Amino acid sequence: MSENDLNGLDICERCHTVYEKRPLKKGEKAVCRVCGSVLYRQHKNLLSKIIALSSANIIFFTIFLLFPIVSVDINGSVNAMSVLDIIIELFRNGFWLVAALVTLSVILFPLTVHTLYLLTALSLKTETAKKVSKYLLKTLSHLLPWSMSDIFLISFFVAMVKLIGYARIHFTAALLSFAAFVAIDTYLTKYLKIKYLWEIYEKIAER
Amino acid sequence: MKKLPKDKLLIPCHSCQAVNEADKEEAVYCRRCGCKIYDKKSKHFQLSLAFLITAIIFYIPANIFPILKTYSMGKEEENTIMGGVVYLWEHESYPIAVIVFLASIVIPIIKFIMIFFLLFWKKFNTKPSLAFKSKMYHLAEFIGPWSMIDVFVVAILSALIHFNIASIKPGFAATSFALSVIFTMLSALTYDKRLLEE
Repeated sequence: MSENDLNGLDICERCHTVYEKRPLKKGEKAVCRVCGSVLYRQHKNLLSKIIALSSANIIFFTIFLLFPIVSVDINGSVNAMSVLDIIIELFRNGFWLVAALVTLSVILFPLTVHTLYLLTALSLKTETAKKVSKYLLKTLSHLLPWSMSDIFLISFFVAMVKLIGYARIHFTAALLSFAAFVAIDTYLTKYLKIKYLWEIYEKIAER
Repeated sequence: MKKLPKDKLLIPCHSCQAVNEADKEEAVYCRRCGCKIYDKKSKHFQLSLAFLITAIIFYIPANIFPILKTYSMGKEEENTIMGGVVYLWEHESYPIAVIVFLASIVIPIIKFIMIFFLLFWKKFNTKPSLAFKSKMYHLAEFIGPWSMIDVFVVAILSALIHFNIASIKPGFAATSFALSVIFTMLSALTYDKRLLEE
């Protein structure tokens, strides 16, 4: 089959059924006949959306990083901590591996992912630096499975439930900012899938 | 759609999801992003199996040794993963107990079984459909990182609670559990998807 034939095909991520792609109208989506999962959608202003959301998310993330996310009060002794304090504390207790894991999967990877989203969308929008956008997209694809900010948020609430009864817990604005980050992150990675960016890249590269 | 010759198969690239036409024997590099989809002499099977075995080995100490050490009013208490679930259940936080139980006990075991089955399905007397195997793979890939919940919970608790009257410290199981999760994720990522197609 030629390159063009292959480009016209799509394989369902979940059940591996092969489909021929059809053009969609705005707001429509193509759904797999076998398993019902969404194959692809027609997004309006995809690149602009990604630029707006990822830059918003970088701001949310900075707030989350710099300020305490929670303060715990046990019999009057108060302990307010940011996520960086949490990591430093883990290092100090000698749990290198867990600390390194939290640093990578909760801070470094999510932040890099959104910076990459922003940079790729910008370079695709301006149609400059084709080679660079390819490498950005590749790095992004490899990083995505290791970014675990959503799991960290759920874990945080589980930890707080365990503390109920022992301590008074005060949430802060930085935590709210992290929740917003996770919401946008989920929308970006699960809904505006990275394969749409690859398709845009392909159209530009052909020119 | 044009008919595909019998010795070829259509395979999506794992990193950019471009559809590739591939020989069953030869090495294939994705036509769009250039990532290696598989080699001629594929070591994916051995790699994936090796990661899976490592993950299972780390999973054993993760369940035997304490994941949390609590010091409170001079008393020291150690909790294993299962102990933590029982504790939550006894204190009537049922939904959280269920989440932790699912994330740290059920999901890892299900994932081990799924990857093992996907690697060795030829040895069993079954002929699962491509859709079934593919869905299973997708599920294994999706639920994998969620078992990190317990590790993160321990990390957060131990960092927050270090007062004079009470403190929490992570135990050895936290490290080995984290390693177990990483190795299962690696095992799923290195899995040779041609095994689904056959």
